[in-house]
Amino acid sequence: MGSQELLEIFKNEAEEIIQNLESALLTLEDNPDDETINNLFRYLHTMKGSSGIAGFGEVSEFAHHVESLADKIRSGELAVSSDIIDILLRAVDWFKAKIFDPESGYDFELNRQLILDDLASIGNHIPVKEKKEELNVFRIRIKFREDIFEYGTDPLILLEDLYVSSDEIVEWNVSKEKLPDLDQMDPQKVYLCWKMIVKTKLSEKEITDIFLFVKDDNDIDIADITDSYEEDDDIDIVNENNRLGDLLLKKGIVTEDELNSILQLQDYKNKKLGELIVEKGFATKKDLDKALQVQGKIRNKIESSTVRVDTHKLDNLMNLLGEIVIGQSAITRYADELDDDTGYSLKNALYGLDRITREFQEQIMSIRMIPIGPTFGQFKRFVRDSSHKLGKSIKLEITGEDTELDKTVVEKISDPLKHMIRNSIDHGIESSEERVAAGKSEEGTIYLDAYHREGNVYIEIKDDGRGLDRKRIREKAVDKGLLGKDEEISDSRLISFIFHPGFSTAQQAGEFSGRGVGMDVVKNNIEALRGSVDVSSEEGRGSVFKIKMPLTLAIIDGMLFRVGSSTYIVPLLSIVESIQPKKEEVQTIEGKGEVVLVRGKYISLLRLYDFFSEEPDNKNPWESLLIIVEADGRHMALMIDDLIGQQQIVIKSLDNIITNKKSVSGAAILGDGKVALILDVHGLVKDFSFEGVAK
Amino acid sequence: MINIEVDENISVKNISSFKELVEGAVKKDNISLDFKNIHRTDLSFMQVIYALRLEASANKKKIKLLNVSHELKTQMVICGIVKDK
Repeated sequence: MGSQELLEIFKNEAEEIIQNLESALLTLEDNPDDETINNLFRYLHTMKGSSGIAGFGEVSEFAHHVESLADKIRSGELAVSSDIIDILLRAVDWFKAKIFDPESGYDFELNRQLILDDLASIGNHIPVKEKKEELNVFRIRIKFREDIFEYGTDPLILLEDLYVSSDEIVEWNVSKEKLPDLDQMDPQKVYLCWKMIVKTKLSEKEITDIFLFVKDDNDIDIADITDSYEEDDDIDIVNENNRLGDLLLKKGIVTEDELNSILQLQDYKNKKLGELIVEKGFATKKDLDKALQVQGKIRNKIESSTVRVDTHKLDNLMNLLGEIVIGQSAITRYADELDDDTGYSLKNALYGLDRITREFQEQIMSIRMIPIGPTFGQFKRFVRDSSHKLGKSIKLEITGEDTELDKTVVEKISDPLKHMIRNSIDHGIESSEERVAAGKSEEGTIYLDAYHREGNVYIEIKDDGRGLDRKRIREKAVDKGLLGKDEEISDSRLISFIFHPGFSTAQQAGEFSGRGVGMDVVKNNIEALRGSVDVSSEEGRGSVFKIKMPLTLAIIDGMLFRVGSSTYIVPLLSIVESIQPKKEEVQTIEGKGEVVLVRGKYISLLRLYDFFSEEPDNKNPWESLLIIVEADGRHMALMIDDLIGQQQIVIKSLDNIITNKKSVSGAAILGDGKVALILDVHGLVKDFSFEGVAK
Repeated sequence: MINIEVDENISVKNISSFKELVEGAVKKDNISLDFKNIHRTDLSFMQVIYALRLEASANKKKIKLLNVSHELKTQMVICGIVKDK
């Protein structure tokens, strides 16, 4: 493995560790439970080891010092306090800058020293808790694959993690059986094997998690022998047969005959196996509870079997499937040309294949889906730090963190969300004094929520602040010439001015916002993800920003239509209707261009044949078809030759091939191998739309 | 006694040259390994130390470990090179 590759692996891992560290620290501040403290320690330990391997010696050494403090918290020597959390968060910032932004101008040495000084001075805290006495006992057998170093993993880090996580080492045997003589050994291979019994406060899942990223490719057995340790050692939890009857049989609580009789009884009695066994007196309730506990542990072990997959591999798989769909469409076309009987049989077979490929597509898409929780989680730190800086008291409440959406969408939504949260902190939420004077609670709240509805994902950013100042928005819009002084305008249109470039109603530009740059960028970024953002606001009560996003960026339901000899696609969600106008409904308004009257309103008409330099069937709109599309609450009419039909489209990116990017968002390959451009309705509406009421 | 100061950047990436160094040395004399420049290392290094210890014992040579940090000692315990006391 090359050092560049190793570095990439480390950076990916470090990003995750840093995110986990921040999240653990913020959780710890509110709720210093054992599990979070253990996690914090483990993340720091991993950071220390991984950074050392990747050549970040300073990070490794610094992590070592920070880990020591975490160890004191873990052992109960130190109480968690806001001061400690602050220092640890500063340490996390140091890691972040050192690994990802080493040229930032941040003074690493000075900050390192300041943090270390603070770590040292905090050493006089009072103990807060007694050590827990209840320990779990695990029997662990480990045999790493010989070439594990090639994957950028140092097994010693994992073993150290296990070692330090153990409260008592009962046995720790290292087998050197496979270790060759010095002159025969390849030092880049792993030969040693381990067998150990350890007592620890950690759960089986936590112990398993230490080996999370290696256990699928390596021979690692973890058996929870807590119940049988000292008494007997005959339950082999590694055997993943987790049926209750088998577990009771194995433990010698029921005999085979007793189990069989109960199983027969269960056939006609509508009762659970465990209930029947207790009812018949074959086992006590306590025996049953113990066996159920073991069953739960085995289930956890099975459920935690996961594997990491490079997203590029998933993208490739998706592309390949796209190619299969294209090939399938081509065969369907040929089937259409065949005689009745053969064509019918072939088409029937193709329908079956189509069902499977759709299911296949859904399965691949589901692999790409990840929960939004970690993205939401990173804002806890942001809200905490920003509100402290502004002297405001603000809490962040998160719901819907399990809501899943496409990985790419999750990655790209983070910045727009951050900006909107920043606006809420800076302008939305009032100071504590203002809030109390307004009869509100001293502490402001920002709510983040995510949920699925109608095949889309919705993300809401809500605050209980002062709400949007409509008077200021109107004044600013008039100042900027966006609105006539006495012009009447709908409330939603008025509010939508906040998304206009350079528009800010903030009296003073703050460190965080108010410079008139941002909300337009936010909106553009969301629209680039084929999403939209709605705002509602009540003065004195707060604002709600509702973002609507597609579940995935890779597939859309599209309407295919023809202009001249080419096929184009519009996302189905953007289409309102298709009409054939009357001649008198098509007019030209000076300065606004060609318009068409649709339901009492004039809307812009775009002749797509002109736009794409095609030779149309007809140049008169009233002899052609118009597709009425909508974006941001504004409509426009696209003049086309013919509608072809609906189809699920696998989007191919055009990168920079097409220069007029605002009107085209991508392309699709059709069944006949031809390419169809996908129109970007948001871009078109933005550039060409005019809407006016007919008089 | 051959004195070897272990390089601070020792890892799987450059373990082969270290292995060759100690392999040659143990054939000639007793070895003292000075760890003053490192406080932790990886498994590839530990395995070489393990194999070196076995090799030395077979050749009736002695290996002396100097300036072993607490953390390095823990790593040696984990790899079975020394016993935890």
